Amino acid sequence: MNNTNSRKRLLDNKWLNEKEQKQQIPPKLQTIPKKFNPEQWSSKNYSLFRKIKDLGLGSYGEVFLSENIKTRERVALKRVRMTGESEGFPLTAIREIKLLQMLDHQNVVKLKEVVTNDSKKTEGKGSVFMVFEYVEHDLAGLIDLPNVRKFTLPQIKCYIKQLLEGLHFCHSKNVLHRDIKGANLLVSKKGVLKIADFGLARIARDKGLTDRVVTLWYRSPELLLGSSSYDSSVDMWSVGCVLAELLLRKPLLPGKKEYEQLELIWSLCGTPDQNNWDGAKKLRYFQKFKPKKSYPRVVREKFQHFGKEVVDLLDNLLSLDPTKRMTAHQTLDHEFFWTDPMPACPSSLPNYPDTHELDSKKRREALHQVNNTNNNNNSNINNNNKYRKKPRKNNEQPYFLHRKCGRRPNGKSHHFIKTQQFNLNQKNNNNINLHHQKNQNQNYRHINHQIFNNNTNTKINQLHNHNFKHNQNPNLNKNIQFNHNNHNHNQKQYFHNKNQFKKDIHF
Amino acid sequence: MSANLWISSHCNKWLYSAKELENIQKKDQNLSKEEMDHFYFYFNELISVVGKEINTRQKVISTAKIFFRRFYVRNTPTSYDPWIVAPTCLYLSCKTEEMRIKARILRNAVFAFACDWPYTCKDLFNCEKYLIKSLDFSLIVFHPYRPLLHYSKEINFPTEHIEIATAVANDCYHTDLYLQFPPYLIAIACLYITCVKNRIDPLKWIADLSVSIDEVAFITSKILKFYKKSEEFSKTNQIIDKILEKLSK
Repeated sequence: MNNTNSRKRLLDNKWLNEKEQKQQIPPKLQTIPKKFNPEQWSSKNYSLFRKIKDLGLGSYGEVFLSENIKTRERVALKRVRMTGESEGFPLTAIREIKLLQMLDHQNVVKLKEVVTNDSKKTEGKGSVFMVFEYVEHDLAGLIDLPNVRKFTLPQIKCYIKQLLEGLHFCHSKNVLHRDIKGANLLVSKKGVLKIADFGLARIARDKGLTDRVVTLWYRSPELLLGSSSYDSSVDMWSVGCVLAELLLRKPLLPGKKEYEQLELIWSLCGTPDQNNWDGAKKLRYFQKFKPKKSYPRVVREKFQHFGKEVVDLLDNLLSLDPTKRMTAHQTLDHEFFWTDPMPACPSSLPNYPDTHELDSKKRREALHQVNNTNNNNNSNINNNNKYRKKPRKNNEQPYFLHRKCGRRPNGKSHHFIKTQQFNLNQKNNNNINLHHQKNQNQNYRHINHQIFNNNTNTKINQLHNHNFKHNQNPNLNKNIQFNHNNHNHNQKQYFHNKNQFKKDIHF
Repeated sequence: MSANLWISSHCNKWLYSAKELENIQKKDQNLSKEEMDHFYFYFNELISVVGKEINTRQKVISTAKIFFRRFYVRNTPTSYDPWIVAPTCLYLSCKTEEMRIKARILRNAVFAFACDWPYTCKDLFNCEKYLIKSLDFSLIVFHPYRPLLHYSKEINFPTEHIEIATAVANDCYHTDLYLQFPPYLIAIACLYITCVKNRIDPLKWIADLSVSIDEVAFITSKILKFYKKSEEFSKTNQIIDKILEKLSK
């Protein structure tokens, strides 16, 4: 095309005659560099922060604790995932930044600023970091903490009340969080709960929402059945799950896959029928995931011993029909918060050592290793101390940490995990054939898993036996010994569950 | 940084006094103030024309125009080519206002008006990074449309008059008013103009609001000045060559 034609339509006719338009063409700016110099994008801000330690890892990216060099203020930095984006700056990050800027509430984590670390080295591919206020604990970490006693009812009421206040604020601004779970609820040293991780949040609208949100254990039945027009009630279901988890000190509905999660929900809340939930039949996957048996609703029976108000509240929050669930505002008026024992004052809550999801994961993993070594002794395999000593590198993630089922459409899926496991299995077989002729430090863990898998029946006994009797492993982490010294019945059961879960993830 | 205007970054970081704006524009000694007006006018038109081509809403276009202004508050026009910055502003505002479009479609839309546009999608992404950074990640922009509807309900405006008022508010994006005053004041000024034009007495209504009439009068005078200049702006296409030549030196 001719240059003269190219830009003629740029200005509206009301400003110009057509003849004039044809004559005047702005020249190309040749002298201005096409590509942007990454140095100019470099930010001095990031160099202000000094990394102290990792706080969390996952499909959402990484979070680490840092310190402002000048002010000595501790902050949490979250790296924005930039890889795998074909459309420039990721939309999810833009949403998260925008929503966090919108939400200014004491129970929502505060985004202080956003900094970048671009420099000459990174060639314009540097990372963007969100700077959050540092909050010491998260709720999942507190539940997992071995030497924390049962939460008292006033304490639980205090947490849930603050959660609902924050959530009510979000919902009143028309924001759906869509990922409420223990690990995303931070608790400060003063006992103030803060909702974090708005990576999946968005402004509510009527249609065309994705159903692949919320961590599986906290996902509501209408999402599992493929609803694409939901509202704030999905968050309320998650609140119900969190409340039950606080009471039971273990996850309420720990399903491994979508259909299994639904089975668990049916067995707890009953199967959907006309009285229960009329709209279920219209949902996309209802025919696919139809309940095979019909279960009665046992929510009230299960939580009977926690008191009348608790049962009443949970019964409502865990109702199958999303229209029957209370909103955050209505829930705050529920008797649960207005009868004795009243919710505790946040400042009166006990202090805990800093905990985060990553810590509890490490602890669980350590316990897992103990079990494996124990199994090894029984199965007469030469067991060098070197195997046990091997420290994990900071960057290396155990593969079960990828378990974020359906957390993000672009994230790693089940398929990824499966293929990885398959490869590992193959390796394991080879290794066993070799009878450990060499020091195979790298593969020792997989071998252990294989054996672990074979001896599933004796596993529980071994776990307990080990805890009580065996003290043969002098090279264990301090963490593990810590566990041995303080355990009560609840914990044992809990770890047992966790291990079982892990085993299934592996194989 | 909030949904509340008074504690938002829009109000606290991005509103300048008239003197500050003058100082900022003095940095470019190449161009006179009038030439800068032509410069902004031309590229605002580019944004709205391309925006209409890709079927976006007016709010997206308005946000893009504000991004464009803010970008050149922080950077001089000599250092960054407006021909890439303007489409990038549109691309980013599509993302922030939840009207996502693909970069390829935007590029084709720009090609329809400038077939010798030398940039690729990659340049668009690079520029986007730089744009977000110089905007200080403050992506929430307030617009006068909502307060305009709110106030017009109070005085029971007919819909025809509301349309005129919104058109005036849209034209305000050609001036630097949005870098000086919060959007609700501009909305009031737009309503004031339409009232006077349709011979409705606005003074009673404005007296009820706790708004300084001086500011409203100042804004209205600025808007009227812009409309008086509209003949000058019809020459933009002739002048823009010289302006861009000057910039590239």
